[in-house]
Amino acid sequence: MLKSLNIWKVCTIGLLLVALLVLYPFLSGIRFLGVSELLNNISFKSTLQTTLLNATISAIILVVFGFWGALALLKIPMFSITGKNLGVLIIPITLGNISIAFICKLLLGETSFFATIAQGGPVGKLSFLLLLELYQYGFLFVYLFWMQLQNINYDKLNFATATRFSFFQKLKDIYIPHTRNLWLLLASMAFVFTLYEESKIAYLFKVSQGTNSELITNWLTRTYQTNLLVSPDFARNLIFNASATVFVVAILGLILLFLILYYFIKKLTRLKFYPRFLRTSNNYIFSKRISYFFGLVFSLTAITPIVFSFTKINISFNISHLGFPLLMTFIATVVSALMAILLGITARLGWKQMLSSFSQQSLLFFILLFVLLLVPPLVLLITGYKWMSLIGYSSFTLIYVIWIVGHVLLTLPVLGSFVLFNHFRVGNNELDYLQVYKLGKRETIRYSFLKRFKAEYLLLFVICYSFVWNEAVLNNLFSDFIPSFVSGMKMLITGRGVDYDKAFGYLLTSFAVASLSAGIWRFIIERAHKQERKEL
Amino acid sequence: MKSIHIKNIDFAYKKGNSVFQDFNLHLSQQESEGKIIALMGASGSGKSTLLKLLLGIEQPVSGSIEMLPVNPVFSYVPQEAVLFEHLSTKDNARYFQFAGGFKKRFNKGLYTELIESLGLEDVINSKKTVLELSGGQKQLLSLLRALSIEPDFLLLDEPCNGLDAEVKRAFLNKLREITQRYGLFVLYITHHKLEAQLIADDVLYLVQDKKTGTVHNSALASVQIFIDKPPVMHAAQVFRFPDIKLLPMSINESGKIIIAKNENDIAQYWLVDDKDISIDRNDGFPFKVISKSPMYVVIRHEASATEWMLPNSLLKANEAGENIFIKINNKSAVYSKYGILLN
Repeated sequence: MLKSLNIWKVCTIGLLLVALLVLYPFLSGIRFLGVSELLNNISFKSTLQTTLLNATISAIILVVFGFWGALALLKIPMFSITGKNLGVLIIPITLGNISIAFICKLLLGETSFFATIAQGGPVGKLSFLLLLELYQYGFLFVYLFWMQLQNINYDKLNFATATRFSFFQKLKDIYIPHTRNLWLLLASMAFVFTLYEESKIAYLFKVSQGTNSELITNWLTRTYQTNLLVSPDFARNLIFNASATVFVVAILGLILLFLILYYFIKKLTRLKFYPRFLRTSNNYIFSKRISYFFGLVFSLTAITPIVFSFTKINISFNISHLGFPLLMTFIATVVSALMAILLGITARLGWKQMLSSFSQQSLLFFILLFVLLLVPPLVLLITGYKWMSLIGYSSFTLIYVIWIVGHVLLTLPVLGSFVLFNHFRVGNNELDYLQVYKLGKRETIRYSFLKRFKAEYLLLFVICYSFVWNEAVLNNLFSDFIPSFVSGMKMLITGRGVDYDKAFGYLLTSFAVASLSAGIWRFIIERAHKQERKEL
Repeated sequence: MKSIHIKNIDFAYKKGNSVFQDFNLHLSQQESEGKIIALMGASGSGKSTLLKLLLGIEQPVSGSIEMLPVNPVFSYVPQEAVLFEHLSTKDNARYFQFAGGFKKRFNKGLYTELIESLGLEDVINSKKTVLELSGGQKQLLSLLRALSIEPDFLLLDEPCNGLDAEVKRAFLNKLREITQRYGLFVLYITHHKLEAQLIADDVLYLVQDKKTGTVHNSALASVQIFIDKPPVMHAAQVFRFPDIKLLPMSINESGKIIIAKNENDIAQYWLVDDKDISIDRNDGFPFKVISKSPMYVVIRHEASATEWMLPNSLLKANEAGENIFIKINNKSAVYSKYGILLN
């Protein structure tokens, strides 16, 4: 056991433990009580049920949309002009929650359609939320599935063409098995993201218990605030029990979703039934022309709302109020990105076999990382309060540090996964080679990682910037000390002093970051193309 | 009778970079007679592309491909066995029993018989997944699946790459045996003369234009002819490897045949056998001994940079650096400067 623990594994585990230690103040002095009472609480139970159902349905719809969207784009080669420009599909995810909510409010806020949804029941609101999620995550999933489908072995595709595979045969025996791990990962990711969906719905609609439109995060926040008036300790204990229950139920829900999908895919791909109605004369349903058509439609859909939002506002370039938030976001981004890179390097070197490719084993690692995201945001919020009370609100520097550490914790699963995915490109042969020539740790990190992934790390930095810029929990908590996009937006688009023109200044930063991400990604693809041409 | 008739096809992956231009080919097989044709040629000469054109994976820009029977059933065994990891070993083997347009072609009797003749009983009945099979087992399984639908044509693209010697030998022997027993028509891509020698009846050699890399012609002959007197010079380099003795020749001003000193002077190439050369101290083409190994001596003609390997027994006494003279008593083939057989 001890023999298998190398320095890299120790570093990785250490990094994760330090991240978890941040939660310590929340857990200290907590008593386990009242879980059974909580489970009998009708409003808690029904909100949790609605949230879980919403997360499950959304996750499935998002992942199915991603897969079919990718199939529609299948005939677009990665290194064609269109293929290289499909990177615009990552713009919505880098825009972030609050920006999307704001754009939605700008474009639809005055329409009767929006009013009907806002005044209607939970089904309408959650369906509308799903549409926004399709925009935000759906296009990313399409892009990721499309990239994965581009890697199918040529021999396999040639074999399929040579032996006249029907579309269903290709689907069942090539496309789905090839993307199975991605199905599971993206479904888990979508489940986690939609489970704690709070900011979009809170910015767009007034959620309340009465309208049955609360999600679990809204319930936790409301209950905590109500009980805080009675007793802070009681409120924290109750929230601990509720959060722990949500956490456990969320993990069980995630496992259940994972197993359902896993067995569904397994059963489907092992079927010995090949329906004749899905046979097509030319072996595929989506022709080249249709693929390019969908490529155009998806790209336009990803960009059009942003472009239209420009027409709804008097753009003023008064960005003097953005200086401090931009600086703080920059600092938090640097620390978070460095932490993710460090985790990505130590984990790759620590679990050389497991993390050498996207396989069933590495999938487990990613999902474990994503479980970190299942800690309810409110727990982080309260932890933040506890830290603030521990340090006595007196030191601004310490408050900044807490704010930064909180962001590291929040961004680690997503950014760490991104880095690990990229690090698959460092082959084990290469690492063994460096070991044979006894190159030290510093050289290994420099040659195999830092020099190679410069562009990827830059993209990571930009994505991280977007995450921190759009993050709602910590930014709301520290709004008195650190003005942010989120807190600023809250005042400017929902408060009494509504000022869309001024809010647009914040949004412009999001646009810039999103465009920069797409630009850097385009550069990475172009570089890969050049590399491939050189090899040929 | 089965046949493939390629008429004047042009094909290019990119405009202005033709792989085939005005290419013609006729291959046929008499009913009930098994036949294996080894498809050979230099790297990048279009062997795999030809296979793709036959399989319908690629379409010619112009020209036509006619086959008998019309709409034939092809089976394809690529370089790396294509097996489906989500299916059991058994389900991979009998894939066509349930799937696709070849359901009706699946011959259960033949399938059962092949399991035995390919020695795959244990593999099929074991609980191993396809990921746990060895390279040889994967290829045999792939062959079993390919044959289970009684294909009109069986196309194999370097299926022995990466297999160790013993597994390769067993695979090739099985392929030969099954081809004869079931009267198959097999096109087999390979780079290795030994594989061709071991199983092929004929060799189809694609001839690439030296300058453009485009294929206009091919040479089709029996394996024996390719060994004795290769119809194209590039094939000689493959079939005589590593011990090939080619000499670039030119004719000087006085009409005497000499070794060409540069590429522009070359009029023809001579292919020479060991038995047709003798070593002399004073007369013949001057060579220098470069190095010696227990089996061979490497000699070089400095002016033309031609290097030959001679069996050690022929040059026992000579040391590296020494000069010797080679006399050519006969030529086994003469090629034009374009590599076409003249004599």
